[in-house]
Amino acid sequence: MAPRLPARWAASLSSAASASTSTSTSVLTTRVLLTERHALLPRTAKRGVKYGWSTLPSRSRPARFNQVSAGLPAPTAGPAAALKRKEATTPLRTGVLAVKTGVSAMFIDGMRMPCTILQMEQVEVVAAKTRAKNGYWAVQLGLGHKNAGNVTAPLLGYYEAKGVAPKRHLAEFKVRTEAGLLPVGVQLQPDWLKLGQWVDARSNSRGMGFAGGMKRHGFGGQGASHGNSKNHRTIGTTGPSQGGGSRVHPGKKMPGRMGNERVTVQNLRVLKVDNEMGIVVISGHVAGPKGCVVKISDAIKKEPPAQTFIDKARRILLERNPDHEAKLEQARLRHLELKDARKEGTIGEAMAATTALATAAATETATV
Amino acid sequence: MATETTPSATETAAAASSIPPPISTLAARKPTKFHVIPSRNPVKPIRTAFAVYAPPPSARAVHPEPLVSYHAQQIRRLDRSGARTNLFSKKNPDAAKPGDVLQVTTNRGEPFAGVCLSIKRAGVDTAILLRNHLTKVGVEMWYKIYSPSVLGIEIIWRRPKRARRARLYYMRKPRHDMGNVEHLVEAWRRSRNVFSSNKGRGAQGKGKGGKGGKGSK
Amino acid sequence: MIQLKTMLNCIDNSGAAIVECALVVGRKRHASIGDRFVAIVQKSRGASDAGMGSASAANKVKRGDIRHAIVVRTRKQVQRPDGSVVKFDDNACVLISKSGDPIGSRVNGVVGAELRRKKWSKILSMAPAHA
Repeated sequence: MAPRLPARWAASLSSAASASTSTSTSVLTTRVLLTERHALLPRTAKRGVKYGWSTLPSRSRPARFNQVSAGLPAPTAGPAAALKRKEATTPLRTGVLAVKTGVSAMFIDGMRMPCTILQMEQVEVVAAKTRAKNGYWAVQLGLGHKNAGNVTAPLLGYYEAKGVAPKRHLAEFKVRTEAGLLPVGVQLQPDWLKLGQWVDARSNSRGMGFAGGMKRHGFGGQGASHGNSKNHRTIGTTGPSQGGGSRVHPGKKMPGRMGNERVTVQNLRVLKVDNEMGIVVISGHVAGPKGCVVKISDAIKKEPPAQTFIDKARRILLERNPDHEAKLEQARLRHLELKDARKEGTIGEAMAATTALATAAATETATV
Repeated sequence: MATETTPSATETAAAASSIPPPISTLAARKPTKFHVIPSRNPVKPIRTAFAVYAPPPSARAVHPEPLVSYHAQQIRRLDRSGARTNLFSKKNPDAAKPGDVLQVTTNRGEPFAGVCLSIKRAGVDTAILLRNHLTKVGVEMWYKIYSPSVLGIEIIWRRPKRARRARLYYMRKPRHDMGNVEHLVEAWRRSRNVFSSNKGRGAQGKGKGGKGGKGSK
Repeated sequence: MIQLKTMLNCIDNSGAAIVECALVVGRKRHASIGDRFVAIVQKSRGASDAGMGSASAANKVKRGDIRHAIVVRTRKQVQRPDGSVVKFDDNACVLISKSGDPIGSRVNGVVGAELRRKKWSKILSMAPAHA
């Protein structure tokens, strides 16, 4: 959900009011027509979907009360408070996406350690979510590759603007501060994870389909005999009778779809990272079948890797993608051009021009 | 926790593969490819089109089966001579098979000998199931053949006829149970001593020597 | 997997032949090799069936006695840190006193090597073999 920020025009009002109380009336009167009962809005087209939205009552807005600037304590609820509250459990840096390819074992110091082998396939940063724009800090990663024909037009435009190929999967990794964000278009390799560090693995468990109460919730079932008739695995009663309310309490465990839900396995070790094969080997097992997408992030209940390692990994990442800024800017400009062309219906000509340019460049390079 | 490190060779290779293309190819990476969404209108055949950028190099295309590569890598690490692989390889006609009596020497305690009931082939996790009677009590042991704690595996006795099952679990039944294999181990030890009587081998050399002998066969 | 009502062989010379598990001490679930449980002697070694000769006269326990015991063999396979697994054909135990000393003076049979990890080296050293 978008943050409940005041609409832009209201924000400007309040900021103007707080900036100078003496001139606030004049500012207000210049922009808003104040009558006895209503403050009419300025006629300039400042409102609309484009300029944000608010669920507050539109015409009577308390501008100066109930705020930190009025001497009240900071609110304990709301976006800022929520971010503050979750700070300790939000990782410093982004995790990675990987595909589960199977389980095996590794012998470490004579001990057998069961492990899961995951492959990082074309993991790229697709977007950065910011506090100002989205209300939180996060890195959006994409995994794999998707044929453009299987991508909807809005998403094609999205990828076009980012300068990345369409991705099979997208996922966000929340980070604590702006320092955890990564530039768009850089590719993450397995050595983003430190050997031996603790990680959490999040994935969807294997779907079991519609399952009964015994399998899904571990109910005891009923007797095989003693007059039981065709109710050996049924769940029995679902609630008390008259006096107890004669109803089924919300959340009663019942048969239903089992599995295919997010399962987090905490505190697993990274046993091996291999950039060439693109694999990450982590101790233990993660939920889900082979081929499922796993989010691996720094463990929230353990110390993150040393700051020196974090800095080093980031430096190596940027060294491997030195021209990411130029590429992104190029893609952005190109996207704007193409967007205009699409609006005007001249996309065919724009395409032809681009291909001509490309062929010219190709011949030029060939001749050079 | 001590873990293995990525070999530096692979790192450099990865770095080499991920070195960005020079500026001249940067232009080539421009969105020359377009995805066209056609329309039914013959006058205006293109409804819209989007530039589609080339994806980065795919690790999966180069290593489509990382699990297989992982197994191979770990086996290389744990079985440098290839003797363990060879002893249970399906390609090796002299390989140990279910029904044979094997002896496993571990890094602690006495070697365990027993008839092989089953071989679970799972890459680096490959294991054998041995059954014997100790003090008239049946004992079964699974051993991971690539485990560093397994120092050697020797074939004590070969079943005269090939077992017609891959899993000889029926040998747990009293009717089919082989019982103690100590007499076979004794016979094997005596015969081995005859062959290697010219060399005064120590007890600790037994496992490796036997294993090497099997591997070189 | 030794739990309530499990019948085990007693393989020491305390005089018990078969004991029944009445309670697993210190564990929520079942007992494995090296775990302690409360045993009821169901069958004592008689003079006829005991292979220990004169030991029958010195039976330290008799039928109906309640003693503590240590599991030394299980039918359920037990996994070890190096990935190997051991499984026996029967469930067996050794009787101990409340203080943890074995009641018998000999152990007649193979025992699991897990006893060392569980700090029962005394029983392990009494056994003729371990696997």
